[in-house]
Amino acid sequence: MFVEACLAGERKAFEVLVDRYEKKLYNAAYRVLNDPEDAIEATQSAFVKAYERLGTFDTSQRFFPWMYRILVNESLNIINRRKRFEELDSTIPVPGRNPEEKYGDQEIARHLQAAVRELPPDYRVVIALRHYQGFSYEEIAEILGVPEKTVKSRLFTARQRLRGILESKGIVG
Amino acid sequence: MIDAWIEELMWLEIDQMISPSEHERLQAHLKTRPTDREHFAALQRMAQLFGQMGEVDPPAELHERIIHALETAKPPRSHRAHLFARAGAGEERAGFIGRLTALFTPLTPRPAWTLAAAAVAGVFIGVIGYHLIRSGAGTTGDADNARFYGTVNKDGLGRDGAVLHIDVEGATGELRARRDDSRVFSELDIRSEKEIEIILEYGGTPLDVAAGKRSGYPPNEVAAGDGEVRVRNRGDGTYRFSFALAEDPASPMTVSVRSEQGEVLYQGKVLPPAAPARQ
Repeated sequence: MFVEACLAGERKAFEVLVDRYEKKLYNAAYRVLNDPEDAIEATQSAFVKAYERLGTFDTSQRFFPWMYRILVNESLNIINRRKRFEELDSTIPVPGRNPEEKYGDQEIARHLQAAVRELPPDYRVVIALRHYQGFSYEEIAEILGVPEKTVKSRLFTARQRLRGILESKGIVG
Repeated sequence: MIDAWIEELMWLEIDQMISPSEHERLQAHLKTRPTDREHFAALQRMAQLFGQMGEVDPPAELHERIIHALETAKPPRSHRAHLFARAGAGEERAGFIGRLTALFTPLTPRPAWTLAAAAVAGVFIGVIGYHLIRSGAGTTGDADNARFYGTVNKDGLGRDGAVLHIDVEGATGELRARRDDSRVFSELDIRSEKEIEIILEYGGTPLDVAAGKRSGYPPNEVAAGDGEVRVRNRGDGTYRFSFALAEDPASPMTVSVRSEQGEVLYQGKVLPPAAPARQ
């Protein structure tokens, strides 16, 4: 309904969509980009592009996978643009035998986010969509425009790598 | 080393996307493999860590930045293409009658609107004719009105002013415009029983509105965005606003009147007034 109103020239109708998706999209971008300013840029660009391309949206389909796909592409564009400036966090502490005792929850969460950042962008995206946004495999496939088995495969590899990173740093046993 | 297939089942279990048969297979496997049970527990802890991270609150300025960016964004393509296509069709019509018809072509042809558009066009022709007869030499002869819509040439082309009478159910009014080089100065007098919205769209050309608010847009105010000016009116209202034209317009301006519910009461086209000839 809002999409049709936007296409009829009602820009205000699009603002309803902004209200509805802004926080979730920002969170997804933040988890992929790990930088608040980059996440703002990605979210803002995604909304502007979605608005300008609304005419290409198939109204028989669900809106959120289309919107998320634009956000993912914007986030990947930002990663590609800033790749050479990106420095991996090398300040992770030395492994310990009982990480849960050694680090508090917040500390572990910080290390986890840093570990996600070490993953290649495609893997970061599936991790963000699955673990932070809670999308099903089917929904992630719809967002990324890839088969569901590709999503499963990417998630599996991403988690294996993630676990390897966390193990090597003593965050999980 | 754990087998990949069993780890895959573990993740399916954690993601709650495992089938009953896969679940049984996994449970049977774990019963006899204490090492794999430990591995499964480690994966579950990792998944829990993600859950503990929760949602991040976006910075306060995010919403404003998005809305501001949307104000300068291009309107959705299908909408713009629609307007351009109609405008182009109007331009191709030859002659004075063709041009007058182009001014008031409804965007969506419906029988009721066709009649309404024809009625408004009739009023418009009457007004132009009245001024032509009254002025004799083709000027309005009305000092006050001339301030806004200046002279009208015999053939209706190359004029430096335009006037549009609005007479729809529940609303009557007049939109007058004159042009001074790149700026168009407009005055709108409108009376409406209920809240209506008058929208001037202009082919995507950014309008630099000199008067009126760009945001907020309460009733009885003028608002402007990319390529459009909006006036929301209830009761008697007079609005003056001006805007700059980036380039000489080739397509007509679309004027719409909408009800509070968004129903299009009227939609027509007005050729922007031509720039006055330099002496």
